[in-house]
Amino acid sequence: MISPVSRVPHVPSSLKRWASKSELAIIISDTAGAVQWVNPAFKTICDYELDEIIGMKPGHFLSGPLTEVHARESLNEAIRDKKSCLVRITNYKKSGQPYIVEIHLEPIFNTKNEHQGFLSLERDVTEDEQRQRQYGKMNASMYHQLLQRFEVVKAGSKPNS
Amino acid sequence: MEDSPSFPQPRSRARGFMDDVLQEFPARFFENWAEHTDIAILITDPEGAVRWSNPAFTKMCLYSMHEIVGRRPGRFLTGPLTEESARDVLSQAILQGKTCLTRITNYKKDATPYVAQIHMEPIKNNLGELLGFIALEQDVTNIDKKERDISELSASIYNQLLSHMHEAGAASSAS
Repeated sequence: MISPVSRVPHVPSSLKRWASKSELAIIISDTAGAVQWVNPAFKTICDYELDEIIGMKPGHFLSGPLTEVHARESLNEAIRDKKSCLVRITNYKKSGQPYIVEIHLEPIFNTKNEHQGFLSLERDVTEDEQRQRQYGKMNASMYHQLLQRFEVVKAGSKPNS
Repeated sequence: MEDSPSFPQPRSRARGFMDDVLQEFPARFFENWAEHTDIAILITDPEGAVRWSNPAFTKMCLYSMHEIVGRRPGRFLTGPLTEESARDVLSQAILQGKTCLTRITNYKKDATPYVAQIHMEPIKNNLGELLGFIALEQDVTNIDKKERDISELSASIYNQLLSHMHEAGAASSAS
């Protein structure tokens, strides 16, 4: 009989394997938020290679005119306070094209509870966001049309019209 | 066992191969993250039986790791409200060794239902052989409820408006 313990895999290496092949972009930064490592999915999202950005802060090379100030502030605060944070933010690819990502940033502490840096998981939600906005617009226009018809019907119901 | 922050030293020009850098990168770093993250994490074998879970998983569904090692989440987390479609998405992904993202109603150890958003990915070695799966899970019960509330509210406003229109229409045709 196999004891449960022998079935426990080597967790660190499993996680490392996963991180290096994940479809989620993974960024590891130091305690100041400067990039130390990214996985290949990161390049898929924004076209930057690790050696172009190592030591740089993502806020400096990914943001642009459409980047939401409040989202940047949430990220900066989380880095300053060593807290986790979940935001959606408009960033820019190397080519200058904007995209929307959901970022889940978390501090990393070792077993002695010393702060080691941060790990961010990022997912491109551009399509999802566009769908939501479109849905919102559609809803608004349907409402508007319905209200207009309502006004017409109401006008028609007035005895002196 | 290295536990200190041991980042690769930033090089003026890294060799550019992700694998080289990854080689130097301490795997323990990921373990430290997995131990402290708010995201519930399960690692399973290629058949989908649990091999490891993190503290956030225990916090979410109240099962400790030793209670679930060797068991399939589909067996002990599901219940009457669990969506068949979501179960299919997960079992298909396991059969095909693929990634999937789904929302599913699961049950805690104390039988409370909750809605989890699950992002599951295969773990493969360098030869591309399937070693197992990793599932990242978040309790989205509140978000899910809010979304349902909004669509219910929107539907009820719409219906009220329609019934007002009918009343007004009836009044106009009667006059």
